[in-house]
Amino acid sequence: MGYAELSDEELLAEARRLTGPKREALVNELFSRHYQRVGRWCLRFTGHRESAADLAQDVFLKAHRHLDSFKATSRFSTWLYSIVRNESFNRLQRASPPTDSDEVLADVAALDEGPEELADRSERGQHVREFLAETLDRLERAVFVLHYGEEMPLEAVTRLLRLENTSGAKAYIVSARRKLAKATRRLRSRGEIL
Amino acid sequence: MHADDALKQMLSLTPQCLAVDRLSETLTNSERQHVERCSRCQTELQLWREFDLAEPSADEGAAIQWIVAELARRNSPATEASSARRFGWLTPSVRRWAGAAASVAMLATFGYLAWDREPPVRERTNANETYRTESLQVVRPVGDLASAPEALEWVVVPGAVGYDVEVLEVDHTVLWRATSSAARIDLPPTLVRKLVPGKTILWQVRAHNAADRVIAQSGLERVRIELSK
Repeated sequence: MGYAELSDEELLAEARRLTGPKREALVNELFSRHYQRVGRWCLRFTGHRESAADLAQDVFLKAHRHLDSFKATSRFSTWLYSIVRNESFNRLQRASPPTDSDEVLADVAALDEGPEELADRSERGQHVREFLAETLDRLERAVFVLHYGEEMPLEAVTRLLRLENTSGAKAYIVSARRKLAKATRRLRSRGEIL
Repeated sequence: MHADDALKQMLSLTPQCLAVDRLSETLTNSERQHVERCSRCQTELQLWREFDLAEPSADEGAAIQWIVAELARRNSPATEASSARRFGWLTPSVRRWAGAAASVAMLATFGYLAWDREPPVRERTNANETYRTESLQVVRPVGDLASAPEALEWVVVPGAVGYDVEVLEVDHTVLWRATSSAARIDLPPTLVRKLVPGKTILWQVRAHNAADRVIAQSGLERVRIELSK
């Protein structure tokens, strides 16, 4: 029987009807369809092929362990992506978070607040996200959220988003901050706050 | 609250944000409206699309092929099965006897090395002595530097399609690794910040060809950031 024409979800359903080596063979077939996609992500994330292979291996091990939890309510590749994403982000080294968060908060006009006002920042998070969505272009937004929201190093952001300009993600951060500062001044001059 | 945490919190998930398994689906009107206003969800969608577009660019093709081959090798059922067959005869009692025999062999080897050593091979003393075809010449940085380097450079190796670079602590703990298709690579700012005055690091680079064989490699280069005077 040829499995090439089966979708991922059909192939997995077929595997679930089997046991032992036959089941494993089909699961391997299913996973191998995604080696390139997962490998490419991991390479961009880590920047090094051996680390990428290790990360990808962990992704497939985890997928194998939790295969029964896939309920086919979404595409298999989306389910696999959720594992890739979580495994990758969990590996981010938190040792060197962005060092300019204070300045960025000033850019988004949040530093005038007292301690009690800081507490409701989470409620205002949606406003900040909307402000970013209105003010920044697609790449600036993505770089900003990944670097400041996920604490992803700029070089990883550069690789993941395939930024090919000379200074990579850093240029987008500079441009985003300039736009945010300008937009904030405009809001303030109109007597509005975020 | 620290500024890093405050900013991170502002950009974190909200109950309205899309779950990852919705990214590939047709969005409802309310989901679409949310995504149009939410920079985080827009970013998540962009990442998902980056993942879903499985076309590697020209400069990463060889590395991805290597990763795919490596995954296939590691996950091959034939490898697992042959491994099981190879070691299947090792029952617990055989393992115990084999363990004892291995211990005796190790003691004998140790005794031979300790008491009956052959004369050591003469060490190379000429610092200018060059390696054969596998040597890779670095350009900079080497030796003592007044400030932290921002890039590593070496001489192009004919036939090389990529270079694997490692920066290490003096105890050989890897600080950073990366692959470059050019004879130069910028150091990430996170690493540069660690190169404080007085710090010594090592780095090396290996060139590999299209068949993924290492065709040249540098020695371990020592770099020290001088203390300010």
